[in-house]
Amino acid sequence: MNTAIEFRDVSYRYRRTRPVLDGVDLAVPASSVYGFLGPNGAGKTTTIRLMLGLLRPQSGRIQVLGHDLRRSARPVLGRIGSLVEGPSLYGQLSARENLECWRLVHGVSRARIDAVLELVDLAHTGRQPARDFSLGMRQRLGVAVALLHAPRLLVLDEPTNGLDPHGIVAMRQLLRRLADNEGVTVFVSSHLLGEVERLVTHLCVLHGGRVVEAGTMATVARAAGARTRFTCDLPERALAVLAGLALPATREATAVCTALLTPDQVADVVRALVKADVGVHAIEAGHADLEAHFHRLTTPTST
Amino acid sequence: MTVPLHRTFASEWFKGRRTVVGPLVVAGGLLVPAGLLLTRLRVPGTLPELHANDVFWEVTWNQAWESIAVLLLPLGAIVLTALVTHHEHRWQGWKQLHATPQHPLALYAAKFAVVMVRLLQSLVVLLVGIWAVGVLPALLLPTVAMPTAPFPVWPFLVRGLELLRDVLPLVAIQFALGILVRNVVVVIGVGLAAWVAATVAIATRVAWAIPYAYAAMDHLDETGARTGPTPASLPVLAISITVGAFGLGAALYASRRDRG
Repeated sequence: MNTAIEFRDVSYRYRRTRPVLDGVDLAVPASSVYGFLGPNGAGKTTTIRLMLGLLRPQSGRIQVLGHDLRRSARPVLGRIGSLVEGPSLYGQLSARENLECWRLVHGVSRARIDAVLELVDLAHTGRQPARDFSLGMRQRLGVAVALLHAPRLLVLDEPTNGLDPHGIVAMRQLLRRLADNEGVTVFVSSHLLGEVERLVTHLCVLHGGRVVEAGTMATVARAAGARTRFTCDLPERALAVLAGLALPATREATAVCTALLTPDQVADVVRALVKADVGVHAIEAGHADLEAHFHRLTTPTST
Repeated sequence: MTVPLHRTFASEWFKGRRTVVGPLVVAGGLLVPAGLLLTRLRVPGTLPELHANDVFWEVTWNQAWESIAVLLLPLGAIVLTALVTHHEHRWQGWKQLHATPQHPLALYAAKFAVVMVRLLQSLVVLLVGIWAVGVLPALLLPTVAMPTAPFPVWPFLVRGLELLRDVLPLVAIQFALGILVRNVVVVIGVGLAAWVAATVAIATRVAWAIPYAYAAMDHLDETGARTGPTPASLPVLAISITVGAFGLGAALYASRRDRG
């Protein structure tokens, strides 16, 4: 199974309002860290609630871990860990006791509680009730609940809400580790681009209930204007070489610039330039202004 | 794979830890026996004769149930049910619960079972309390002997279960309201209004139509007081309304389009 989550032409509306989702198509590759970005009210949480079966689909097709959700999400929910609109914690219980509630449901061993408490750095909280936790601690406990039963798919709605910079970095590392080492698919929603761009392998931008951009980070960066710059001693010859490789390029003083290239494409270009006796002095992957791109995509005039 | 019912119940029971429900059950069960004990200790001169009476326990039981059947049991059941059902609303737990492979009917039944077990616990506490009403004066006052009659555990238990059965329709209706309505004030308010209406109507023809006073009706019937006529026996009415309210509540809950 190469696609963990698939939405095909999914629309949803609450009662008599305009559609919150309008023909949404999504394809979340397995083992990816998928960023789901959009301003407040874009339809992110509705999308997440649909993929967890918290809302019944009204139109279109939704498949999660190979299971069609039109009948019921229940058969697949045991393989999904989720955090939707803030953590659901029982305030009078400690972190361990909160996890015990969910351990009893999932039927996993008690050792998992220790493991996830360590993972989210809450092992020291003892009998402190969750109502006394800071926002960041509650958020981390919510992630621990999601991780408790070692799910194959993690669906996290704004998981870094309330975390301090150290907590954000730790959360990013944890999610990348889960995807890279354990093959967990991580679906993360956020309204902050800066928060997800250093975490995700794929990005989808939702605006006004529609997908306005989707793809790998490289694809999105390219669309945002990211470039690869080759500084060399014979730029005119370099332009000809790149044209031979069907890569449109422009000259900038002693450099030639193309759209952002993949690592394989960079290797091909360097090989071709060297073969053509062009001395390559530097290669830079230019940062796109993703923030400006995101802003362009999500301003009212862009739809 | 759907989670088995016993695991759902275990989880629901566990999350009641360190809530006010446990202390409420103990306090509710001991409140009337404690009051009865204090009243008797204020006039210790009457106790030796009372303790020697063959029907000591029956007298004590009836005195206790006068206020329990009319007041404490229905009101306690309304509050207890509201506390159990409000737990998920309060901590925004529904969305997380519904994102697990638990069948909605299993969740509904497990939460209802928690209320039932709590009611049974309160009955056991009450029995202990009534026993203490007989035993403590004999331990505290040298002039008072232990009751001569043996404590009728099983008859009291059976009678207590009958009165709990009478309160089941109230529990099933309040439970459905508590699950479906987020605002706990509305839930308790509806319960109190229905209880007041039932208490006012207890001797009228329509008394049976408001099942919030069935326990009081049952108790009053036994003591010979006049209550309104019923189209069927109270046990049949109580069980029928309970099954109906439970089924309707479970169906409404399971068919909700928005699950958190």
